[in-house]
Amino acid sequence: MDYLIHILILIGIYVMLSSSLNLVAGYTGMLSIAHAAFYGVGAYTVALMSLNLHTPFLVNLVCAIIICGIFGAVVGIPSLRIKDDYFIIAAFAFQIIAFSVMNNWVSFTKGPMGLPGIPQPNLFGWKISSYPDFLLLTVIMCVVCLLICWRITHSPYGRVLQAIREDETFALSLGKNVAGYKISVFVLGAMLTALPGALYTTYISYIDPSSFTVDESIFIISIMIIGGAGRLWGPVLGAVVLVMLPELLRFVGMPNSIAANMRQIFYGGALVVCMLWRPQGLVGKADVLRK
Amino acid sequence: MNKWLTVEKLSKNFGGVKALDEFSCHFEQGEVVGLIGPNGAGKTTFFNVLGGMLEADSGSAQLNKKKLTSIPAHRIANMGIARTFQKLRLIRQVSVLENVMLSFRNQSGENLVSLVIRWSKVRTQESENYDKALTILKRVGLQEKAGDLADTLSYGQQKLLTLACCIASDADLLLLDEPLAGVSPSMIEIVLEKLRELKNEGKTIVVIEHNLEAIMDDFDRVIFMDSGRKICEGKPDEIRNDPRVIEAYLK
Amino acid sequence: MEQLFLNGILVGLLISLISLSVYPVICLVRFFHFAHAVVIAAGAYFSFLLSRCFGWPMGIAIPLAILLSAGLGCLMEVAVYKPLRKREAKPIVFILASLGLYTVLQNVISLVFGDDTKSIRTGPVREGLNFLGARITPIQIITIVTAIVVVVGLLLFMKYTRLGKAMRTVANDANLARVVGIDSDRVIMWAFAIGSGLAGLAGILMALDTDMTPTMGMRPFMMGIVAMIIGGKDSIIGIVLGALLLAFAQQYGAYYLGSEWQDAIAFAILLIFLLFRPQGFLGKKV
Ligand SMILES: Nc1ncnc2c1ncn2[C@@H]1O[C@H](COP(=O)(O)OP(=O)(O)O)[C@@H](O)[C@H]1O
Ligand SMILES: [Mg+2]
Repeated sequence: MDYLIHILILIGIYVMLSSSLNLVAGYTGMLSIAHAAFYGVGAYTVALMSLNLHTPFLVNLVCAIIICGIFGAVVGIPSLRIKDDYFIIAAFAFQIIAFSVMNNWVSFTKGPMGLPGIPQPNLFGWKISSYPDFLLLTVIMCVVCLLICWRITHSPYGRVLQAIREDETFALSLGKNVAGYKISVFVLGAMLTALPGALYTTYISYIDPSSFTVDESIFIISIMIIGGAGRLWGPVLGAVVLVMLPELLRFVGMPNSIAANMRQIFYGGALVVCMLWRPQGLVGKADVLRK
Repeated sequence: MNKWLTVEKLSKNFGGVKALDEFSCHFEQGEVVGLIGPNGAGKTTFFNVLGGMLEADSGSAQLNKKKLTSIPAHRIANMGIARTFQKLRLIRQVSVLENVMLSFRNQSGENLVSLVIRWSKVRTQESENYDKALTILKRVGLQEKAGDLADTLSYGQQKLLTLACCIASDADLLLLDEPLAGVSPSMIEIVLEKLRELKNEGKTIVVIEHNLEAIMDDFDRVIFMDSGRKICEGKPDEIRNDPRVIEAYLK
Repeated sequence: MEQLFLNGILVGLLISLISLSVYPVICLVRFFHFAHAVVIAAGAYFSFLLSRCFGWPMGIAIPLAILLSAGLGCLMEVAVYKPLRKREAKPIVFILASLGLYTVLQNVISLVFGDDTKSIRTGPVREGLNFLGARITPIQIITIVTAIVVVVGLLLFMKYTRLGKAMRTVANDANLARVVGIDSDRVIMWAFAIGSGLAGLAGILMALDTDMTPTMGMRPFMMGIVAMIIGGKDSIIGIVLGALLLAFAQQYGAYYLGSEWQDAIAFAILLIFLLFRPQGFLGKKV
């Protein structure tokens, strides 16, 4: 039972990660390879604050959201004013470098040793400690995250995002400040990663940099693409499928060491196959990625 | 020089090609002006520079004494300029109605902050815009297609939709790049009728067009350009008989 | 201090080599071919396979490993990118496909060879020679010489050979290239072959200096890309200068601020260029 709940919580974390990426990449068409880095920034913020300052969970969460937003602005503002190419590079560089700082700034983050013993959250007197507690917290966070995504995408703002994805020049000619939209949605996407970041940190109660690598970013991208970019439910479906998969591999008796690689080979391959034959993913709009 | 829109000595080079070569002209409010000239004359480039999609190498343009050159394209659009594109541009993966709704300017729901703090205002404005968009679609005869993807429309209908988008923008100056090209004869009549309506509402309209037979008599004035320069301008009849124009079209 | 300077040169040239290896590809295909990072690692592992598992001498193993890397690049082009190009897919599709390729290949390497560090170095670690007050190992000398040869070679190649000129034409204007009868698919294939071969070479040099892991390519690849932005995408000299600037800033920054910041310095430099000189210091203004 606990095992099942564990899987559900993981699914919830990836639903939030890929849904927030979906706002940036699926709806607006800007592929960010830095999503795991923002996730890591959020996670480390919560971990370091609760370990060093002993501040309550909610305060940590709010700070994590703000700090993720600031980093989003630092990456987005210089690069999104110019050309998408530069954005991809800046996001990629941020991903590599954020990992490197987490890994090397030993005096602060303890580097590859990681940070153990992160206290469990306490929300208005509700001490979250058991598996079902965390599941409930996950569900609440997922609902909040999906509501935000839904609200954004079903608003005039979201309509402009899709217009930018389809035809930037046309959006400009309609008087839309394209760079402003790109920057704001990117910052928003970064801020949303603080939710899963905070959840993951307190749930596992230990973090190290290896959870926030490029590979993790690519995994989040795969969830979004394989589920279906540009649709609210696409990332949800993708998260269910891709998180369950390694568990199934384990179930059929594949040793763990091989299963980890096989899982990545599978979703990397699925990404390539999707691009060649089914860009819309499982439930995506037919033409988000087509000409 | 206190015309409504003045353009002075605009130049634009692409590598060695002088797409605009010290091009000057001016427009009065409420005029319908034809911009004609052979392919590659620089007409589309002129629209792109005016709309801020391309930066001019030199020269200036002023709308109502406000400088247009070297400000970002979206701000130019918000100063009351709407345009269509020669290579038709629409958001094809959303509905016809949403294309029109996108074209309204200054929507509070397009701002992330007011989306959060002025929830109810966004809602009422959105439903007003919905009704306005339907009215506009009715006006161009596309009301039955409102819910369809823009991609599913015929080419002529798509051109009408771009016109509907211009109407929705409520701009004073419309720049139309070949609105009749590739449109069936019956549809041409509809487009022309809409143009006349817009003229009667006091809009200033600049039209690039090759199908002069159909549209020439609707122009108040015609500017003929070639190789990035203004060759001549005048009333439609004068232009029709100008030897330079005849020669350019014959060669 | 001399050591710092020497390391700057060494790292700068290595970044140049990687940057120049991806340069022909990016100039022609106009998207960021992330899977290039894994070709760097593949070069190292091919040489490991040939020299350690098969026991072949380095003189055979290294050239063959470079050829295999080139083949790997071509394989990606033929199997994935070319079909996407024929379909006129959006740039984002190419990038997603290249991320997928990266993931697959990187995990194939770690499945076959394991995640632990492998070495192709022979003999004990040498002390290094004394050179103007700094220590330098023979392999570092080889790296420096190789990188210089590659830079000069690539400059001459792009300028004087028919293939190099054809590459420039396709890069500038694919339509024009078609008009003058250049087979752009063939040219792009050559770009993948040359670029991937050089990436393999860079991987081997890195492995000779500091061993190998399956993910060894990603960070240097990122540095190479950043060098390319700093230098201006269209000029080989600019790229080399960009790489040197990056390497020196890192070396000296690490010295004064602590080594945990050396990558953050690279990022700061990237942001500064994006803000103030997005075309790079030798690039043409857009
Ligand atoms: N983006 C561009 N890049 C390079 N050359 C261009 C570009 N746009 C237009 N041109 C060139 O500028 C000239 C004028 O083009 P254009 O304004 O489209 O002419 P028109 O609309 O009058 O047919 C042509 O020679 C064309 O090839
Ligand atoms: Mg034209």
